[in-house]
Amino acid sequence: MHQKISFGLSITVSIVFGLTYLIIGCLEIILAILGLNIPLIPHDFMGGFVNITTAAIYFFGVKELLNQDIRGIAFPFFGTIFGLGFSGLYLLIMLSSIATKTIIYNERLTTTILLEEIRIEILLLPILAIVLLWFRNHILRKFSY
Amino acid sequence: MRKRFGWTRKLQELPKEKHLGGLIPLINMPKNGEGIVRYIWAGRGIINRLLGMGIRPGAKVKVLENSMYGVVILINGTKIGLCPRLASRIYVEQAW
Amino acid sequence: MSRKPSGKCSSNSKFYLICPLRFFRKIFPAKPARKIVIGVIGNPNVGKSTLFNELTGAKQYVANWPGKTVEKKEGIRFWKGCELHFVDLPGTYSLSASSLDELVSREFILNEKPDVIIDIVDASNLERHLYLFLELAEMGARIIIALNKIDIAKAKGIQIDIEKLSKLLGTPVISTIATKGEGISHLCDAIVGVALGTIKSNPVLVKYSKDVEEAIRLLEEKIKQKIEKYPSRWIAIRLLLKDRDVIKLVSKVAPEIIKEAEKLTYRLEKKYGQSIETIIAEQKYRLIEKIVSETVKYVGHPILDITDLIDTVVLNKYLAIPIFISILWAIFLFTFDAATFLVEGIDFLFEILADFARNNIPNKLIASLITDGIIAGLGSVLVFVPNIFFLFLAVSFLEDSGYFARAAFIFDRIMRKVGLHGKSVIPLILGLGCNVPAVMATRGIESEEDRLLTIAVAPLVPCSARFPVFILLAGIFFGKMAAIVMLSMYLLGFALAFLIALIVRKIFYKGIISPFIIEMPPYSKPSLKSISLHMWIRGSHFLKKAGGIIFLMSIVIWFLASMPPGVEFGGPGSYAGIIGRSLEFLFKPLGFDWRIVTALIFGFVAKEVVIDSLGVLLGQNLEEALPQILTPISAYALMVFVLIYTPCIATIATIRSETHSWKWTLFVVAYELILAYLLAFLVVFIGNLIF
Repeated sequence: MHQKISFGLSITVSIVFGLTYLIIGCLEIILAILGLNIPLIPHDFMGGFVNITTAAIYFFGVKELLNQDIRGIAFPFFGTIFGLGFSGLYLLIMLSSIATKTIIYNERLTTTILLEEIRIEILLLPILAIVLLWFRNHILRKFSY
Repeated sequence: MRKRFGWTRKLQELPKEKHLGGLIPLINMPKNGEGIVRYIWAGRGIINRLLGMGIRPGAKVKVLENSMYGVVILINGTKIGLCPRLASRIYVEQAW
Repeated sequence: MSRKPSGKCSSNSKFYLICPLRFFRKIFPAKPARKIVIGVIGNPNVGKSTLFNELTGAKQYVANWPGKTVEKKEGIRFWKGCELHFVDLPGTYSLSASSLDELVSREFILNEKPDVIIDIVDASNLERHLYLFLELAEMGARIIIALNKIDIAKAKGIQIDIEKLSKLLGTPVISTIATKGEGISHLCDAIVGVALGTIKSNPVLVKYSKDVEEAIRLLEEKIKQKIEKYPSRWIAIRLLLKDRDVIKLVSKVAPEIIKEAEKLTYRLEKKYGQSIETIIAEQKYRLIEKIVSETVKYVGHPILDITDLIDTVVLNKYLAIPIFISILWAIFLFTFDAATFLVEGIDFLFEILADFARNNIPNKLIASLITDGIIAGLGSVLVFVPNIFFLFLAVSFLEDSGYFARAAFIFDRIMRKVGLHGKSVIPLILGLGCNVPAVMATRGIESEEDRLLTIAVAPLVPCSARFPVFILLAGIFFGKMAAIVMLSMYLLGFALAFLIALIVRKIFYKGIISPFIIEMPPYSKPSLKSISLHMWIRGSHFLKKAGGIIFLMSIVIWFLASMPPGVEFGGPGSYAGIIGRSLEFLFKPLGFDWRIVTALIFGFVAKEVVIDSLGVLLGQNLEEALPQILTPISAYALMVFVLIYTPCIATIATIRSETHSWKWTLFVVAYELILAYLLAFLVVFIGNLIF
């Protein structure tokens, strides 16, 4: 019973995150090629590549989990760690950049600056953290004794 | 006169059917396949390294990954990565 | 198990109590503290350095083993009136002397005869770790086993009967958890006990099969009469194993024994149908299996192991390389973007400092020396310090987490195609930070040829010192294209490294690239203490070496640019101008002006000095001054030239000390100079044809 729920939920999570990362990644690459600027989604070629890699990790997980192999959980689990790592890194970069602007160049912290610096991956951070905790507490523990 | 280490070389270059009946090289093992190492065909330096790491005749191995990058085996709870060339020179008796 | 292992705190307080005692004994040397020499040995990844740090604390000093490139770490601790002198031996799997590390450890144990050897053994992998123990036992060492990572073993469901293990092995076995500092005081008690003879350590010897024992006995009898310095049983076994160094040793005294040994070996190999190494090792492992089966119980282990889970993804056929590239990109982001605040902050501070000095020092010459020379020079270097430290932080994190072993595995196939080894990947990545640690990291490569080759191409990897040169030139000359131009430099650097490796391999080393074996340690969360220590050791090394040289060079450049007295600062009449102009003709085809030539000459010292000295020679505003003397094509040629031409002095010195060969060092410098000139010329030539 538990196993079924775990499988189903893991697959859903994988598909949702896979698609999200795929869309963000493609957008970032397209924007990078066109050289366009829109808030939240930066034009960042390598960032796009990273996001598409993350998406691929999730999709591989879907493939394995559909074969009813619990070891397929490895993919969404690692994908979440991977995504979380990059989100954290982007957050750090944002903080560093804002600190440079406000402390060294004495600019005032306004919403425009915030919007310039924030990127969508940072917003995913709390969601990813929750998912990672869920994986750890509900799946890894269940299958360890 | 016998060459100094001639016989060693001869011994190591003996992977004939007779000698290796039923044994398969690690590189031909499927993923998650298990077996027992029976024969290692390598030079002295490498043999010593392998022996020190626990890869020796009689040791149980499990193949964790087998891809174009090489073979990852589990031996005594340690993961060891081997290049394909070396993996094709370690012969195992497959256990099902 | 009734004694509770006391933590770090209590042992330290004892140490301080004994400290005045040490002082007292220094004054009255008639009654010195008993000095106990202890060798610390263990397999790689067993937590040896952590345990060593716990044992010795900050009282460590690092040197090289005499005449070897292997690091020798020593440390002291005072315990119960004894001076414990710890020597960290390199991590090895065995003592067959097939690598430099093994040779060093072996020579230490045989020649220096330490009072005690601590063999660190991983509790969750007794079987493999006891192999080294048995080899040590044969060498007649007095051994104490530190059964490390006992907590991890417990978590894995492994139960060990420590008392029985100690009885079977004939040595004290102390369980420790190095990461938490547990069991250290027990270990020290045992050391003192064994050294003073109150605790017995008679390590068990392997009893080989009848014919092997017979052969050993035959040899032993003869050896006993001739050689007294070393344990004769060990010599006999090594002779059977055709150990090169032992053969050399014996042939000096008794060449007839070697012939005898050869005959015996031949007979054994023929009888068993296997090489002698395998026969001996198999019988050792048989004893180990017996001991392990009597002392270790497996209670069960988790189906889903985190290390296995991560490896399924990281070593996946399709995902492995994209993940590697992403991680590399993350290192870059962390190094350059996350450190922005600190970089800008330091820059800002130096500007304030320079202004302050300029306005407040009355003597014009001294003011110029301080602002144009020292502050400008030091500032240009210190600005990179955050970048370098962040890079080393990221690299240490990856190293400690265990990912690097996987990266080496994944890349072995690709590296082999260009004539390098899988383990060359790590030095090349480190090279992005600084080439000095990159050259030092090649120590991990076992084969000498592979190592030399990696050293030869490592300086082609654009280090962070070249980054400011690129970013300045790209920013001034290529505007919106700057990022692509920068990227092209990095790609060119790696492409050249591979190309040169391929060519050198084809010319010098026609042999096969040595096989690739690597242990993949379980993933672990790196401790902050350990990675910051790693970062500090690597970073401060850079800081000391580069900082000192660049500080001196700033003064030298300033001197050359402002002397002889009265000349225009950095003008054609100054010494710097004279040097540059005398070599200008060489670089005319590349379109470099004498000021650039001068800057390039100073760049020998360190690549960032190129920018520093251009600033001095052209005046502060490079954005306006540079386009007047360079075209975009020659600017690109300059970038290519700076990318390739000669490693900096610190790197050259490191190459020399790591290879022990001036020839190889000169070869690296020479090929890089020629390659740089040719490629820069090619850029100018092709550029002029197209545009």
